Amino acid sequence: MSDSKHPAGKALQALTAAAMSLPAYQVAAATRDDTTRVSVRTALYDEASLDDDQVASATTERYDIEIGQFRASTPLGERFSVALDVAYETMSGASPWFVQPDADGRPVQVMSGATIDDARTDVLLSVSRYSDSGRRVSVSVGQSTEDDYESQNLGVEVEWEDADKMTAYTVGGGYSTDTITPTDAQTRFPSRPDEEDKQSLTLLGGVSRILDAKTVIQTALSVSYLDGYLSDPYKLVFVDDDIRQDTRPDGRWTGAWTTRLRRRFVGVGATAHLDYRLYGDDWEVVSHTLSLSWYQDIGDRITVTPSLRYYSQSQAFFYRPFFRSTRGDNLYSSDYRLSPYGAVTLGLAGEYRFEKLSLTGSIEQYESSGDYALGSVVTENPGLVDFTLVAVGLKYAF
Amino acid sequence: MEVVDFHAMGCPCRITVDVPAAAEAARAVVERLELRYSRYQADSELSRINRSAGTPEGCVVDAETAELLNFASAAHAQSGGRFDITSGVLRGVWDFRNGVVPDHDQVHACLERVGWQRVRWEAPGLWLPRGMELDFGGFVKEYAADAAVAAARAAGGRHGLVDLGGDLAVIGPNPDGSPWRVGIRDPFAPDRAIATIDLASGGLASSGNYERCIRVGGRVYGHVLDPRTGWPPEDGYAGVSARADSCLLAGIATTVAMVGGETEGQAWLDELGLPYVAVTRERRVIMGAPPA
Amino acid sequence: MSPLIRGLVAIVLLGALSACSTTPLKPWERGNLAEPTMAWDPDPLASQLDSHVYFSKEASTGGASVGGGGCGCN
Repeated sequence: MSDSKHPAGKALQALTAAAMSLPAYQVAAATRDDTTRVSVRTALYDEASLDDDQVASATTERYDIEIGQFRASTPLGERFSVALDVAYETMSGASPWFVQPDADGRPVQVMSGATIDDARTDVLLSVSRYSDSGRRVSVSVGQSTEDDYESQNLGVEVEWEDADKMTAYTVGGGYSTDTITPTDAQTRFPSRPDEEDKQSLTLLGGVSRILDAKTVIQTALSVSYLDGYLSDPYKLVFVDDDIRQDTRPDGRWTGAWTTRLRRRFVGVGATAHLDYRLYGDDWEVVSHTLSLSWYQDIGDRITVTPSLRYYSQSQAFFYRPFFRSTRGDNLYSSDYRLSPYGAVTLGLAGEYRFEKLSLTGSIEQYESSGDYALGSVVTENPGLVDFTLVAVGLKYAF
Repeated sequence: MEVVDFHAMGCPCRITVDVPAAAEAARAVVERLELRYSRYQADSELSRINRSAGTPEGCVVDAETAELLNFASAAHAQSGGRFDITSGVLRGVWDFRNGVVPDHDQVHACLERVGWQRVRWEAPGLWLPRGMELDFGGFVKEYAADAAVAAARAAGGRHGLVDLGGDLAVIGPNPDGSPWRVGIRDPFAPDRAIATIDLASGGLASSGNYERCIRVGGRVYGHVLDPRTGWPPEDGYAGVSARADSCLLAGIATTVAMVGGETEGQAWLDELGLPYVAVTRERRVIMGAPPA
Repeated sequence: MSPLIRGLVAIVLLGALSACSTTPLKPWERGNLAEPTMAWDPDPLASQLDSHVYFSKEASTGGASVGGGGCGCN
């Protein structure tokens, strides 16, 4: 007997069609995971020190963050599932404060003098309901708390699929309200605001489609509006020999179009992930993110995943490393995050599975530079960040 | 690899899978289907349906049974009546154990109570005429193999094989990606393999057992009866195995081929276009392998 | 590119994507799609942390799902 490449007869087609509605052959896009899973993960995020010649202050050290993560998900009753995500992180180090020109007119970074110590707790609870028709409705509530920052968020997402189970659709919405109470405001730093807030609203629509027995694609468009205090209270700007607070518009429209492709290579036991995101906002930042991961199975127990991510962004319209003259709109930022640059992440992750337990480990190296940008960058921001992220984790399926 | 051996649906069963929970989930599905569709258990769903035969109100079946009846109805139509879940009553006149051939009048009288076309099926309502019975034996084991595969996959199984008394369905290839090497049983010596094939996906079903026959003079009466005539085909096969995308489809292919016998059965198998191995009573092996 | 043009491009592509007719897969042909590594996010904790880090160090936000909120890091 060899493989059947013969065009199936009419009788076989009719029998196949009749069999398709039997419960054993029902596969929904949104099927509930009936396994209770618990994962823990700990990660170290370490920013590389800046070069001496790029810094005008004593400190060249930057941020280190230690992160602990926990996730538990479990089915609940016949139709529901619930997931809880908790992250706790402690940060310490210095962060870029402002940029000033040196004697040659070259921008150099001034770091925040004192070491900043803070901790953040992030909790996200989501409940999903699955229906027989393969529809999923998820509701999530979350809170993130720091000494000087508090954020609450709410999300709703609905997923459903076509009758032929080849196409699935997602729509969703999210709302978050944030309050910032900067430390040392009005005392050491009189210009710092003592309390500000912002709100954001996100709408999302997406389609995923099975292209063939080994390939799926998803494309999604997400639009957000942020309203309120969008500046960075801890950052200053050098404007015409004067030092001012970082001042940004109080509204921001953003749009992100994400396309994700997954393809299985059966012969080699591997899965390729290809993701692309086009982002743009009305601050005139446009960015491209392309990532590629290769999940290679080695035997039954091990998966090794090298990955590559490329990112490039253009600058916000009110960004300069420093300003020689004042602007009519009074908007100023020298934040490296709004500067033009490109970045490359190289990553390697591994997973080892044994019975119900699996161990994970990963390392990522992020390097950003004006030279990596798609367009040519005349003046690179001296505060661009390079970091290493190392993580180990444990997953258990009950 | 987790290997679970158990006995269900009248035969030895084995589930081999990489995840222990998947083996348990698969076994539970097989045992659940056996409980629901067994002819021998008075409290099974099937017995409940059969007890309603002849009543004016008939019975109302649940969603899973309705889908199985829809499928059986399609198989009845596609096979020209050679697959018929009402043919079980013919066993009442055919006594294979004692080797007695019934007389024509007995068979003829029994045929009055055979024929899916006599059943009124308006989902979810079913009206069985008096004296008629449904028997899912012709396809529920094959369906159970596929359902076990689905359950094993849902529980995280990626590599494995479900074997319900020789009806096979693949959960996934071997951990190294290679297909399962499975034997096709020799109908004359069920412990021996007549051929070995690679099974990377889908299912393999086998019908036939030369031992269960009645021999009278030169004539051999096989145990597979044609629901249209009440008699075994004159040129019946000793055994047929077929491979398909699912064990259920492979099972319908072999069951109908057995009913058809050498002439009709081979035409049916060739029309389906599935790979198959058929063994005649003269021990001739016919391989239906569509050109790759 | 303005958000409006981007939106239009996305809608056209979505339309093209859903209009392309592929033969519906039979359930038993979906084994490869069920591989854990074929998930959009095979390791939720890893992708959460990654997107959090990128969100706080880059100007761009937004992806293929909602959920989660802001933090003082941005």
